[in-house]
Amino acid sequence: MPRQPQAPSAAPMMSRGRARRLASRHVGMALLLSALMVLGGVLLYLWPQVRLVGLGYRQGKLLVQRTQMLQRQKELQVELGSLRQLRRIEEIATQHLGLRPPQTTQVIYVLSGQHVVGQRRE
Amino acid sequence: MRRTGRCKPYKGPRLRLVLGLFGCLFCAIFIRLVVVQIFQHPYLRDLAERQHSHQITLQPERGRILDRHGRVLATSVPVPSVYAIPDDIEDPDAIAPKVAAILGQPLATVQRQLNSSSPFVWLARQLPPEVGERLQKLNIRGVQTLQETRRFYPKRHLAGQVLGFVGVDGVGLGGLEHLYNRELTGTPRHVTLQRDATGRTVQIMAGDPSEYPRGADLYLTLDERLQYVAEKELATRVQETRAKSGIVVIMHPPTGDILAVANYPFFNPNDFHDPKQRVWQRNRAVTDPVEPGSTFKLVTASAALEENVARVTDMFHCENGFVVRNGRRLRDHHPYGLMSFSQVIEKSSNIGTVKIAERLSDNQLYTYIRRFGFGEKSLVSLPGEEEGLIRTPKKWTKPTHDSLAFGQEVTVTSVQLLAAYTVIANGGWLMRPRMVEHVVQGDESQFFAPEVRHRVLSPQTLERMNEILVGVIERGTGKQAAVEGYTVAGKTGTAQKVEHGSYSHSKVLAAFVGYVPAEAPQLAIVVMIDEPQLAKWGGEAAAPVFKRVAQQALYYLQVPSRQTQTLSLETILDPTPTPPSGDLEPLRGISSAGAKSGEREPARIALSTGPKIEKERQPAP
Repeated sequence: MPRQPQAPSAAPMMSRGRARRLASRHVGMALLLSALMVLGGVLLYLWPQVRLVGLGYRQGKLLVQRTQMLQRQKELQVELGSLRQLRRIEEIATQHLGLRPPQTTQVIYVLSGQHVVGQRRE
Repeated sequence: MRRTGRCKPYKGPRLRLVLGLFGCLFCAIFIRLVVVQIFQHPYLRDLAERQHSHQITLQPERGRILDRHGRVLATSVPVPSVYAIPDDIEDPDAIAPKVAAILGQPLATVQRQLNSSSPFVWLARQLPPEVGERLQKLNIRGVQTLQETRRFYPKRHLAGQVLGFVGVDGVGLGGLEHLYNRELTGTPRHVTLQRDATGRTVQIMAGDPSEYPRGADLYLTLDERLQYVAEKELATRVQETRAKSGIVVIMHPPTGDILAVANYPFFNPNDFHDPKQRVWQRNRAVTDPVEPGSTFKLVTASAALEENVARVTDMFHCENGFVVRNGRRLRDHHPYGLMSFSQVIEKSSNIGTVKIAERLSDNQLYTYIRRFGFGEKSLVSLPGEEEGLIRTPKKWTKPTHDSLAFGQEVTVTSVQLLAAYTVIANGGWLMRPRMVEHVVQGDESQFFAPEVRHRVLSPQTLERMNEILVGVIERGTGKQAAVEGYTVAGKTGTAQKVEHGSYSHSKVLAAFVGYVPAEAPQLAIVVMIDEPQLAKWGGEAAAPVFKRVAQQALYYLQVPSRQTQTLSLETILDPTPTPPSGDLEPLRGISSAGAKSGEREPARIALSTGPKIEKERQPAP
């Protein structure tokens, strides 16, 4: 007896299409996830590198700044040394402030313990 | 059936052509890769490294020179220098006026430099920082600034001849700068940096650019304050006597430390280019030996006493100031008759000294001259030191023995003469004069200990010589060297200068050498005044300088005088009120003298720290 031709059932047809779609969606998701992971990995790798470069620039600037400040410090030290010239100090002391060297009788040595302050220890 | 038939793969000539082309292309790429990766690898690696990595050389900063208390006498500061690359300048004549105005140079000079055919031209070196900044603001293509270091001497001429100077290329050319150039210069360091396309530093590959290499710091035995006092008083006296020049050297006898070396006229190392300055750049205390004159009688007298050929009580007839011996006329500055050994030295009689010396053989006299360190370098760490001139007895003529007795036919440097007098001040030991105390390089320090050379005299001779030298100040020619409150020992000298092959009657070298306090010497000082016009004798021209320098130096070193009052710290700190005594008055604002008269005077207590000096009266050999 000839087989009655069966009307194609919608359910299996849909399930196959759906399954295909689902499969393709999963593949897409997997691909997307993979891409995201790769991108994340790349970013994770690059971020410290970029940060390192940024810090390098900053360090370079700070080094230049430090050199300039050290240079300024040197200039100020020279100026200080120049201002501390004994000739200049003596001039100020004698001419502007009216100071004069002490007389012998005005100098007093203070005994500290066993020796006179300023006197050599024997 | 959906598949109606399969297309047969095309294997025609076009495909083969395409495949062949791709094959060739891949072969070319492969060959190129082999060439690049294998054969050109080292070259390309270097090329790449050069593009992104950059090696810079950090030139070391020249070390400082400091006094014994760490006060800076010489230091280096980075300053801009300006150069031009003429090929890069578009319109030299247009920018020349701007550059010339900033640099303060003649326009014609700048124009000539900017139009030069040289690839590199220095426009100006070691300029003030603000000049460099102004020039940088102009942003002229082909005109650039470069940082160089310049040597600065903040105390100007203070110890200028001792310190020396440094040329524009950073090399020490005189004085200690020259002698210790290697230590002061240091070693350059290299740092490798990674740079981007714009030249900015991305990363430090090797080395630490934040720590600049430095040369060693040189700590001298000099004391800035004593140096200042010596220079001030020397300059004053040279001007007062209208002399040509002068020298003062201060030494600490127990250690041989040189505390001051003053040469007048001064030399300011900051202006070493100035030809007027350069005339006086030599440190004449070691480079210019001179005849010592009567200061040399120390050797004759010491030798006679040490060899027991004379006693201090022996009498000598001084021929009333004139005698002819060995075909040579000898004169004294005053006519003297019969005098004792001590008086001969105290009054500085040439004839008397010659008669003392005749008791010594040539070899004996020569031996003592050498024992006192004459005729050889004192080994002080100063460049250009001369050893002086003393001939061996074989080369002596008839009058040489007499001449040497009172300091002729022999030349000595100021430092040698001072070292000889410290023998008396130092228990009979000859010390090596010390100029550099220690050298500091980073965490390492090299210390130069005081060095004893040898024993010259016995304690008995020393005691007698000390009494004689004290007598020179108290009763003899050196009265003007006396310092109130202290016992001074020393000897004057007036040496005739040699002019046109004979001794000049108008040009003399006035000298004084001595030490103080005589009972426990802390300072030995030599003063030399060259060609004084107003006071010609050593006791008049040079001795007052000794007095002034010694007085201030003793205050500074806090060596109490006989008149100095002392108080115990406990008395001052005791809060319980005590009836005011004469000694306490000054601390409350009234001096002892002022208290009696009712005047109020500010009292001063000397509490400043002096140099760290340890007593070594009789150092071990």
